[in-house]
Amino acid sequence: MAVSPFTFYRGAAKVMAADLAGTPTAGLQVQLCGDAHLSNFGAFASPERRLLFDLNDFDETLPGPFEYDVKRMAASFTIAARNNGFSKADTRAATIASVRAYREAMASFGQMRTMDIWYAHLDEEELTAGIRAAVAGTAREDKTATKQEKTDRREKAPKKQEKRAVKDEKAARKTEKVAKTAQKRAEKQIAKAHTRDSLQALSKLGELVDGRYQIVSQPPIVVPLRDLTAVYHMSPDEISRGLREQFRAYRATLQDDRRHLLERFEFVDMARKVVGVGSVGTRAFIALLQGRDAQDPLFLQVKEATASVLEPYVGKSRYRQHGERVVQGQRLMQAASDIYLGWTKGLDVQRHYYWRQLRDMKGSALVEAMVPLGLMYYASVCGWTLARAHARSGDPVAMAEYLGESDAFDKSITDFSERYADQNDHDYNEFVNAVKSGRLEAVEGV
Amino acid sequence: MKASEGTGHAAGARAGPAAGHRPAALRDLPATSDERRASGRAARKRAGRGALGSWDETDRGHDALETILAQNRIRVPELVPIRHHRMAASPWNYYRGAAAVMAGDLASQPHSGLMVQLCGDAHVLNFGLWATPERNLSFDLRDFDETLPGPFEWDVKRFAASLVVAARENRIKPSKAAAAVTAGVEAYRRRMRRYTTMPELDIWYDGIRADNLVSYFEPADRGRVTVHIEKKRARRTSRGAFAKLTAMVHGRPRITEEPPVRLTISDEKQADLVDHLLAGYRLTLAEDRRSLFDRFTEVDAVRQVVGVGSVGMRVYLMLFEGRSGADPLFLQAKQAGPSVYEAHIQPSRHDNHGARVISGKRMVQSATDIFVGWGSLDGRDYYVRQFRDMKIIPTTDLIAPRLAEFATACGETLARAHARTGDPVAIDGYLGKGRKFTAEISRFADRYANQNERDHARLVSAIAAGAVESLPG
Repeated sequence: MAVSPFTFYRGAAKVMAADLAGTPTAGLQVQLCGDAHLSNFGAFASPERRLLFDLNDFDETLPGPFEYDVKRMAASFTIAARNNGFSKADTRAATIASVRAYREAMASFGQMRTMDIWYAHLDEEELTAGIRAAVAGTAREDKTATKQEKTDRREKAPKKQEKRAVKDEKAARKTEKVAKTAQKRAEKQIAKAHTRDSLQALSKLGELVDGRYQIVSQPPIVVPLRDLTAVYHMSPDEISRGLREQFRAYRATLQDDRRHLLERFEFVDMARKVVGVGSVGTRAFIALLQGRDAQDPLFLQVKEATASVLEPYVGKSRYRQHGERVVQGQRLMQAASDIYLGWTKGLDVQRHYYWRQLRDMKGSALVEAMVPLGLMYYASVCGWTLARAHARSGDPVAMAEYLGESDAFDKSITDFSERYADQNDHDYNEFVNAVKSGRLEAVEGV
Repeated sequence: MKASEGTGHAAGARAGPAAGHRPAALRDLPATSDERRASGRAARKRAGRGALGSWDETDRGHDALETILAQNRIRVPELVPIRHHRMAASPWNYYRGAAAVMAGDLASQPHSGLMVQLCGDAHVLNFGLWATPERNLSFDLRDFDETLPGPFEWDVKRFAASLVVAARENRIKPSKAAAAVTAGVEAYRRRMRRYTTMPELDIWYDGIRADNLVSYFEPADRGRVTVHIEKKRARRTSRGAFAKLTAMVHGRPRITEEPPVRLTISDEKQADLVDHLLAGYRLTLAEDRRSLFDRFTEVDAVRQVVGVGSVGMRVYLMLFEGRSGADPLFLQAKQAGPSVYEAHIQPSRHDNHGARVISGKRMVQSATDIFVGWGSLDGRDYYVRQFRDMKIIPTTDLIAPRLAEFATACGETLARAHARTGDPVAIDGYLGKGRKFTAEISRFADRYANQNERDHARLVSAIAAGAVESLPG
């Protein structure tokens, strides 16, 4: 969290939840993601094997006012843009793009039939087509603008201005090049997602011992349970028995046919694995399963779920099991969800966990490497996606009516984002000072 | 953990050839591919492939007509004569309605004991296109009223014989019918072989999309098939049904009556449907779908008469509206009794027959309608599904000229369905590399089509003699 204001923001959902609690809301409830910052959107494989773009983190999900998610999303664009060193105008453009896309999408969902909203999604083809169109659009705009300027200036003909025109044309070509590079980078990220599956994970996380795979020990990131016996004060046998019990309990939360599918896999090994920024410190495990043979692996991720950071402000979840809260919230918000979502209570019954696939073509955007154009496009995609997620559980007609047709809402949220980014800088500096002064402990490079 | 249906554990309940044997247990992963293959080969000892083609009427162990009539007990009495009438129309219609007869016939012969989740009624017109939860058009099996775990070859036999019966109905040359059977069964065998080396999840996700289905046909036919699919796809939706089946009465949409196919029901009956059937159904939906369902309000329901074999089973068509106008949704609730195989294999593990149908459907199909669920009313079980959700059901006229191509697509789909719940390695071991299995199944299909004609003729004469009631409808 001490790396940059941006990483601090990602890790400080709890801080923002408390800050949002004091802000005015229209009283329109939706299922909130609870942590809709820009890095919590990404690509993953749907049950019908398409690469879909959607929200992908639901640790904080709860029903609440829609503004909370919009503000957390919008401010994340302001902070990320500043972090990338964008100009004030570019920063504002990216932020407002996310809010405008949200508002416009909600207006169209307000006109749509219930089932069509439910089925609405953004897949890989639409995503790449959108990126190409955005890139082609800028290139064209720049070219016509320069051409126009050139003719204008030629008429006046002073040599100095002619030179400037040439320079402008060069700049336009540069913009085009930058846009093309951004397009290539985005396409590469999408292509990369396709390679991220359990077999690839096995090559990184598994090792063959006596003809069977086990998870490689890579402390402190990956620690197999066989090395954790001391931590849990249990014998390896007890741990193994406990895990199998957990696995069975998890299977019981799956839909009939998926449970049946999972029964074709054998539980092989499990390890503790550190993840995320905000999630660091909570317990997360990976489980290795095998199907037909050792070349047919399946990795599941088991993540601890605690009370949502929003709970003090929007009320308790109706689920007593936080793992279930996360899974049900995810299913309600996503266009399609991982077939392996499930939940369990931990070995220690006080803890709650949710289960999902570890690597099922999951991919995310490289926000730090984005140029203004890329971030703006990404912002509009995230805005649309958040609106779709909210329209599934909330009332899109009421929300569209509230948001209105003018850009008043967009501007107001963008203004908030700027102020909140300042606040975040301030909080970040305090945090860094506390680390430096030794009030807080920090270990680098993990 | 509760043992689930459809896995390798044999239904040893029946004192048949499979008793005492435990076929490849899939959860026992120590079983290597070789062991699984060996268990498939061992299954040949229980049901030799050479015997698959045999059919002897005298050994069938039940009376076809009585089996049909015995099914009427749980049906609406006044609809029973309509069922007889529809079944008597032709040997093909009889075949469609006589799944119970064929179940008895199949069970009278030794079986392999290689268990899968059976569709239970895999005849050629029970393959079709429908829209998946992610709005892909998928080619799949579509009727699961009889689904139950059972030996894989029962589905294959019902499928193969249906090709012959349908071909005869459409006056297709026997040689062409035989070619279609060979194409369908060979497609099944080849596809099953492919699944032996595929990762479990790839098998699970495998499926045939509409655009791939088109490629099964000759290039010259592809345009026509595509146009047909597109036309139907646009029309067969809730909106299409709304335009066709409803009229505004006092400012509210009502489903129009069309006796005897669609009959209005009393307000009390409608209230019962909502309070009992739908209230129970709602709880069988996953929570996210339940919240979606809650956005709709029931506005009207009628009783429907559908199909051939299912005539007499209670069917309700229900119209719902979303929160804004022009936002219709049709759900259909269909009565479910025991599977016709339960008497021969084992009872279902589900306490609601609707649950049996839905669970089987989910196991067999590569993707399933988001609104499937179950409930009960007046002591009868029902399953619920979307009505006309871009479902495209083929007709014999349409597929008859291209039977072999269509059969290939069906054979591959059936193999996929079986590989999801059964053991593809064991089944492949049983099927073998040669064409013996295909040849024997073809022999059976022909003989059984003859038997079906005799059974049909008997129903016709029983109706003529006044021993069985029949009413057009």
